[in-house]
Amino acid sequence: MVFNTGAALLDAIVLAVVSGEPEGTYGYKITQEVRQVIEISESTLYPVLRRLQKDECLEVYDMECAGRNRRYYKVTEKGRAQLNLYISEWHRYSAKLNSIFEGGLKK
Amino acid sequence: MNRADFMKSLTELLSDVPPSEREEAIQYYNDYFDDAGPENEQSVIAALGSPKQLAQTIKAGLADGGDTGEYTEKGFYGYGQRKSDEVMDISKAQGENKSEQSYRQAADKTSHRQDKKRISGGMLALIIILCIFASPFLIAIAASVIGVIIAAFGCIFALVVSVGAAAIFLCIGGVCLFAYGIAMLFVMPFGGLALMGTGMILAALGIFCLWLTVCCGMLVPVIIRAIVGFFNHILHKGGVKA
Repeated sequence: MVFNTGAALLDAIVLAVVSGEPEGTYGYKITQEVRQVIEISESTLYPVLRRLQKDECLEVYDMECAGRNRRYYKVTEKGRAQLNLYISEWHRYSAKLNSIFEGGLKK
Repeated sequence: MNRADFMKSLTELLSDVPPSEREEAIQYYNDYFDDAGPENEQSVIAALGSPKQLAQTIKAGLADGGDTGEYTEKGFYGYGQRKSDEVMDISKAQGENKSEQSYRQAADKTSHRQDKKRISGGMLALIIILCIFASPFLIAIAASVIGVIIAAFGCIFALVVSVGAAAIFLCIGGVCLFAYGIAMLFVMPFGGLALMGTGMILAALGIFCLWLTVCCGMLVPVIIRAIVGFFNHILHKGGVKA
């Protein structure tokens, strides 16, 4: 991938992926889904999830699954507000970039 | 290395982080291995890198909240490390047929750097030429600056000497007056006492001036250095402007 993903954009992607599962989702699944859209190493996600959890954008709970406890991540109200902010910022940002790219191509 | 070795090593490497953080990370990666399934154990280990790298990533996340770097397809990078990789990333992403472009970018970067150097060299030559043409003017400035420095030095020296002289004379006068006061004590007691008091005041003033002189004497080198530094600064600035 040519473009690197900044911390805020990665936060937004993770929040979007987790918010796609109303019942919550788990680390491995989040990692695989994020890796479908951006190329990041598998070790990258844990610090992001941990930080979002500390910022109260994500909450965790343990649920019994196949004889063991699996940790689930779920988006909080704050996380949802944060995600909406990211999405609206992303629309503004990408619209500006598009206007430059498409304006530049016309010349 | 199998999963058990990997997790044992990771636990040891995280021994210096708070226990709650360590347990959190260990649980996360245990879950991760469980969810990947035993058949993917080796590929997960390969994807996560060495336990040392993984521990570093976890600790980096704890230390700065992840705001001082960027996540790339190669993992977490601090801003300082990232730059050298960018050209590589581009060439990799564009594939071999377009690698020429990244070479050109790299070449552009190099030539840009050389341009910068050339410009600064040219500027230097220009400054030297201007300095030569402006030399009569500069000599006048230098002479006046030296004059001012000498004058300032003279003033300070005179001040120190005069205060020192005053100190000596005040001390002598004070002692004399005190002695005269003692002699007068027998003739007119109150007048003698007054004279003794005056003598003591004069002596005290003398001692104060002496202290002032010594202080000034110690301050002189500092002041001179400050003045020289100040004019140096001005001269330097003037030279660049000229």
